[in-house]
Amino acid sequence: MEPINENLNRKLKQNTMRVPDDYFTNLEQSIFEKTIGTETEQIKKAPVIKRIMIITTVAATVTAIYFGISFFGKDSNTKLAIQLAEMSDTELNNYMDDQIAALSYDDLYGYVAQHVDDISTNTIFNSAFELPAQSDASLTNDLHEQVLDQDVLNQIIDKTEINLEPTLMDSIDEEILQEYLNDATLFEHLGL
Amino acid sequence: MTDKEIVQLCLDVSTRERGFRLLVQAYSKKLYWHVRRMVVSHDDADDVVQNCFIKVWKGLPEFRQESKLYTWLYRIASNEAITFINEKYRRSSVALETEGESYSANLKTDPWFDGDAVQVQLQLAIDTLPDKQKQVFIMRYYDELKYEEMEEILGTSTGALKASFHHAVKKIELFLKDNLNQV
Repeated sequence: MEPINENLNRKLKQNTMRVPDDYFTNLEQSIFEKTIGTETEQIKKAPVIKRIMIITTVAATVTAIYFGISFFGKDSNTKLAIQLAEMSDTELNNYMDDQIAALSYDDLYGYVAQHVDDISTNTIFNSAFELPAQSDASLTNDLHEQVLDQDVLNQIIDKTEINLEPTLMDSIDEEILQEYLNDATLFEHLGL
Repeated sequence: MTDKEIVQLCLDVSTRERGFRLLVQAYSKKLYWHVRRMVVSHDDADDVVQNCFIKVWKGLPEFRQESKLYTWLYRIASNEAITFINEKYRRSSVALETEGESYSANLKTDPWFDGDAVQVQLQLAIDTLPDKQKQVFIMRYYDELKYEEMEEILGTSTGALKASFHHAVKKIELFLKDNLNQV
């Protein structure tokens, strides 16, 4: 190294600069907050924004169908999105609860009937909710097997048994009954 | 952990955060002191070193390992410090002839500077050096980097670096002789 005047060297090497207590711990923390912290925050925020956009879209669509018109244009939809984005979680939940509460069974049924093509709307509703007195007669046996779960089938059987008089049951021949139950047209007779 | 292992962690998305933490722990002090000697003020050094690590974090995915980790870090820190100093001078409304006095006054009131009158003059002397000479002097004298390392960081030949260091030392000595009776 280039020789430096000894006095100068001594003065230069003397560290006269200080830092606050725990500065380097705080510095590291501050750096992490501005780098890793920022990225983690962005990762956390992304699903919230995505969720809000999905909720907004669904809410706007359902509401438009509810009123039977395309109530929300692009501009109004954006405004709604902004309003929703500004809401707290509680406000957002309350808003969604209100929107959903405003929809009747018929509204939901109408929406699904209009937008779900790959499976019978009745099937969806009958399997998800209680079975109506009259089911879709066009429903095939295969579809019943695919859609109706065991609980629903049990309900049908229970209702059938309750409606039958015990004396009537006694008078039916066992073999005829078995044959009748094995008949594929049974479901048609039952209106299922 | 070696620099190579830290770099490997940083380049893998799944371990990047851990790698960066290790990198900051390994280099925050070294880079801080390098920057601090360049900009002198603690508050300024704090800003510069934080910006420097933000750039490092953003640049990590593109770090091609064509240079060593510490070389890359020093280059970023040194450039950040020089940019900061130049911007600060540009923003400053203080006239050139009173710049030294203002600098000296700031140092005397700086709570994180303990130097006496001679050491204030020393800082003034370093501050009068051109950017390149200042970088070379601080890297060689305080950070004790080898010329080969400095060559990689600054992209300057060893011969030119030695010449810069020599000129820097002579200027500092001359400045002090002119401004102090005894050193």
